Amino acid sequence: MRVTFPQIQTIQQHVHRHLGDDAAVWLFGSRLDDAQKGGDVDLYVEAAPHRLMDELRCKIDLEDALDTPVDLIVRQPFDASPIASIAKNQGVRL
Amino acid sequence: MSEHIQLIRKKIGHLHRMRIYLDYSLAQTLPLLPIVDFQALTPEQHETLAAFRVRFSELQEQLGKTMRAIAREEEQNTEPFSAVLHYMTKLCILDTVEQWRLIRELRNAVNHEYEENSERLSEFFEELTQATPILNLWLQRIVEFCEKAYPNHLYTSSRAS
Repeated sequence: MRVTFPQIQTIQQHVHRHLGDDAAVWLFGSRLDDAQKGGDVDLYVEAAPHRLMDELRCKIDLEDALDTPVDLIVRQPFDASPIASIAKNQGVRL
Repeated sequence: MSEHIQLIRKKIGHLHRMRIYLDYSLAQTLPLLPIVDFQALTPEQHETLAAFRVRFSELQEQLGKTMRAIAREEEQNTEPFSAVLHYMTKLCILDTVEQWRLIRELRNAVNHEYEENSERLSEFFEELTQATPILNLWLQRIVEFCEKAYPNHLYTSSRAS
């Protein structure tokens, strides 16, 4: 996994600040592959309903803090979409 | 008139035209809000929303290009683009860099995953309608700056066509 422990803490702090303390975060995509280099940080977040602008502010803050592009997908718990399945089954809960 | 200022003037003329098209799309979009059932919209209504979204995106894109051209004319750094945005706050064209980035994220946000979530789409379009006057304000400030910095080059909308 190509995300450091301090980066994980940063991700959790920003996600909880913008999307609530109960928000759960999964890392998925290319950052799980140690053989690759660079790439976006793909995050899937399950959170209670929130405003769209909170989600966008969260993405901007994460990109500033991590200094890398972030692909942030936010859904409510028990979302049954394909992306939810992929992110939670193939990803790593942070 | 230098070629570069001529280019800025041309971009502003383009911006005035884009603003007129966006204002038209905004007027068409407002009666559709809030969107209760996205699937129930007619093809014409979908087209109205699509036109509004595209015109909003294009206007912000063109504003960014014009800001970069002004920064270049003023012999400022233009890479990365955040340097241009920070310079625009110094010129009081932008209030904050964050506001620009937030609106840019907003316009990108509808592209994925939300087709089945009418509530979210409605929120998206409501935010876009609220952000439209901000784009117009940025354009107005760009024109005011250019009128002062490069006078006698007529940046008014009447010269846009």
